[in-house]
Amino acid sequence: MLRSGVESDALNEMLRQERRARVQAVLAALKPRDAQLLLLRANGLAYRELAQTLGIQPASVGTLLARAEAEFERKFRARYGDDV
Amino acid sequence: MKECWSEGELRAYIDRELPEEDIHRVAAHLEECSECGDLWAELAGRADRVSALMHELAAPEPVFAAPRKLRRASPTRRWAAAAALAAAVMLGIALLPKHAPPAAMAPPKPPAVVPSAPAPTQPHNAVTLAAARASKAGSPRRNRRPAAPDLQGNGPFLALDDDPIESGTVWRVELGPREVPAEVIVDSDGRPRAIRLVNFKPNH
Repeated sequence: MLRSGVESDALNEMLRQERRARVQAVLAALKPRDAQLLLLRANGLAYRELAQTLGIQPASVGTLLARAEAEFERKFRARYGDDV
Repeated sequence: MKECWSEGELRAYIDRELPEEDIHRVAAHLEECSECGDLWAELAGRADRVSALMHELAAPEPVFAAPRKLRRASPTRRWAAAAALAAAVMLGIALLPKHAPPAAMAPPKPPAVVPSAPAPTQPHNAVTLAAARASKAGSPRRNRRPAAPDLQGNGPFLALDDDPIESGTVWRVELGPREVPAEVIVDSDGRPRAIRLVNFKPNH
């Protein structure tokens, strides 16, 4: 039972590492600003903070974020199928 | 009354980043405009999926081993670490080694790199992202700002590679012309392993 749990943990960790590698690969394929936007947003920055940090207009953040997400998903699907 | 809302406005609405009065106006508009409703659903679904994937990058909780002996790095080692940190900053923010460095996130100058205090016995700065995969129930959507990071305190570390982090030293650096404070975990080989923003205070 214990051994089974350990194996399961190891498998889950392997799968998690695979998912992380995929995300990193897709981020690396994005335009720098798109990758920064997604990373900083995931890091919890609000739109105003994103605008200040990246030097963009606050009113543009929503548009740029939507486009970055669309591009991220498009590239992810192109590489790894519909497993998004 | 405004006809329809733009993609960017709807995306900001999903994150509740619009002015309060606009949030109510968008909500009312979505009740009666199926076109905007469809776009909103598409944007919200994608935002959820991408957010879930981005949270895969949250570094496993680092374990800080107590140093056997506190020692100051040699000048050569310090410069090597500084160069590695510059690379870490670029990787951590852009993850784009093939692209030109982003203007807003220039690597820190070596003098700005200051080693932190000895590794804490308690991993007080080891923060993992909370699972922020939000449920899709409810409308209008709640504030989708990722819940875990408190930017006035310490944010989460983002792993720079897939290797487990067994031990390391936290280095404080400053990013770009705005000198955004950040911390980088550097392992015993001087290799940057994870990065996060800390005490981020935007100019108001």
